[in-house]
Amino acid sequence: MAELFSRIGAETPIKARLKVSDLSISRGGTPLFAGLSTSVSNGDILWIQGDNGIGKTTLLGALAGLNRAETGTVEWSADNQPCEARDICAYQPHKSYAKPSLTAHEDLTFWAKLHGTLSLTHHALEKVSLGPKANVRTQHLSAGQKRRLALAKLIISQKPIWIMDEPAAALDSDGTALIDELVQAHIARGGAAIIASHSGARVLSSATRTLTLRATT
Amino acid sequence: MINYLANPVRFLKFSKIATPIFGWLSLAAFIWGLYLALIKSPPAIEHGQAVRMMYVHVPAAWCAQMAYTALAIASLVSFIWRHPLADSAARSFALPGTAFTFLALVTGSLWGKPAWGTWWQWDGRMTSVLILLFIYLGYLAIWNIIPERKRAARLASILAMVGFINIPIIKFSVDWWNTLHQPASISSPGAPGFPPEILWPLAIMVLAYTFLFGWLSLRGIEADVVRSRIARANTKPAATAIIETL
Amino acid sequence: MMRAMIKRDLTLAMRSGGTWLYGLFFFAVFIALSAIALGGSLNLMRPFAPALIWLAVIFSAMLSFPAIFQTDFEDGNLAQFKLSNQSLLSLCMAKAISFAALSILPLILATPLAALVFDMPLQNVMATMISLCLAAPALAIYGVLSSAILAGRQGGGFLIVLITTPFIIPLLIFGVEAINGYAQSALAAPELRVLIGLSLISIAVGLPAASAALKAQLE
Repeated sequence: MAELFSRIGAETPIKARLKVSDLSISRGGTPLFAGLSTSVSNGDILWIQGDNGIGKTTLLGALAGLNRAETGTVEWSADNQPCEARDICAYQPHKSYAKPSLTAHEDLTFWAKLHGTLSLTHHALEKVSLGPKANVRTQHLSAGQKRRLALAKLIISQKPIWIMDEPAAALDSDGTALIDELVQAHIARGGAAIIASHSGARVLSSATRTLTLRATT
Repeated sequence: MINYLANPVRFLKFSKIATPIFGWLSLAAFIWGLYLALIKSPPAIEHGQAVRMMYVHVPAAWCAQMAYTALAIASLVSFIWRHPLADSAARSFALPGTAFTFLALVTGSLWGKPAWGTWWQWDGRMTSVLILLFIYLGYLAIWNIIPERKRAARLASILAMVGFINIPIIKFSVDWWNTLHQPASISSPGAPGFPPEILWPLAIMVLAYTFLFGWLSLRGIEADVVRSRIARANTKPAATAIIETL
Repeated sequence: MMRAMIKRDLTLAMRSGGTWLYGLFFFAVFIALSAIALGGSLNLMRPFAPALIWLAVIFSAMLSFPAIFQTDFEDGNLAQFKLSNQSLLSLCMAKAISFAALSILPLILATPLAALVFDMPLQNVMATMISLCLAAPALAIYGVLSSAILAGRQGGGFLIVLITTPFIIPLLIFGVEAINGYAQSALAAPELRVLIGLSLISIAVGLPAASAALKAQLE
């Protein structure tokens, strides 16, 4: 599979597709919503909005294969072949998952080793302007800098579909512009993005679809 | 048969008929078996009246092991096919199984007092049954501590299967340990070579316990199926999803 | 990839301000408390010394079990691991190796010290250390399994002891008996072979079960 995805960096991206059919999601036994059908493939930006606690994070988890659907299915495919979520999806959670006692460079290098993209670490750190902070332990980074580190991890994952949970939280205007730029570049290379947020960052303008979760009355 | 019953609706139809049959058969076998065991059968030569404890002890120990085997099989089915009825079954086997294991320990101890002169001996069988109780308690605790039903079912089934593979290893270890540390003069009560007037009541009591286990488990599965149906029927999704193309 | 995982766990432990040493402190405390409870007479304690050391190792290891996956589960690293190209089986294997290195190996190395305070004969010290070494893989793997099953549950401490006890009992039985076996036939003792067998079984059964449990936690 690895060589399949290295092609994303090249000019001919793989055809990745995430298809949701009649999906119902529950959290801790409480149903959140039912009957969701949609699909995301190369070039799409799906913007998920909704109030806190409505189930955005749980939905993203299901799209990334980290929660099982209550009913309905989520199917992932690469070049029209069914595959696993991890073959095409990268997931950026709301919370930072950097290990506090590792430096930014060490933390990123570890994931780069797991993804087999060690050569990209330096480039990714520069891209998110963390170059000068590479040797600082992540516990000493600010919340916004941790977000940037998480963005670097998306870059080194080399997966076509980015699933991002509130990426703009804690970021300054430069940071928001950075997300905008990274997502645009990712889409331009044939990637796709699913972004959950209640605030309207600038990427919204380029979203191809929005999915609104609204409380039933 | 299993395929047919896999549908919860059909299962409830089946259990509506089968459950009372198990219940009444168990009751009848208990009455007959206890009459034979307590009144008809002779007291044993060496243990006297205390031998009657065997008729409640041996079937309990047998059912404790049978229940765990059933639990492990249901867990395997649940793990491979992710079938909710297998989850209900495995979960419902555990509680009667624990009760039988506990009963086997208590009756064994009560029997031990006249037979061995102490309430407890660390002999191979008693120790194995005690460890079986630990395995049951660990299994029940998994269901207890994990709120998401599907996840709990999956993790509990993994533990049950590994535990099942482990049981012969424990048995082997404990027997081996026991022969090293116990003087040979202490033999477990209920050694083989039964005359028929002991074997018959014993067989009927085993039957009575088995039917009781079947009855309790079926009741448990019914309750579990109904409970999860109610949980599903009573809750409406809190949100709707609207998709707009820009 | 397993190397990267193990290296990271060891680095994290080394930078944790010595928390990985707590198991060793517990080991020392357990030995001291048992000696005090038994009245402190060396002649009385000598025959029980291997059993007490075994118990100290088992309890110390059990107390460390919940930590194997707890932080990785809570901070989201486990979810990321599932989305990387690596298998959960190799993660479990890496975790078992780093657990054995961080939480069991120091105890085995501390055994001669414990032997000193019990005045154990050298032969028994050797036997205890060898039996602990042979049982270490199984101990670590069952720790990984129970930690995977209970990952993300608060207050799993007592429960993890309950869940792992049935798996540990055969290890304890043959581990302690191995001291007598070693006195009679040295390395050819059948108990030591059984311990190797138990460790092999744990690799064949415990590791796949642990990775299945992790998968169930993340779906």
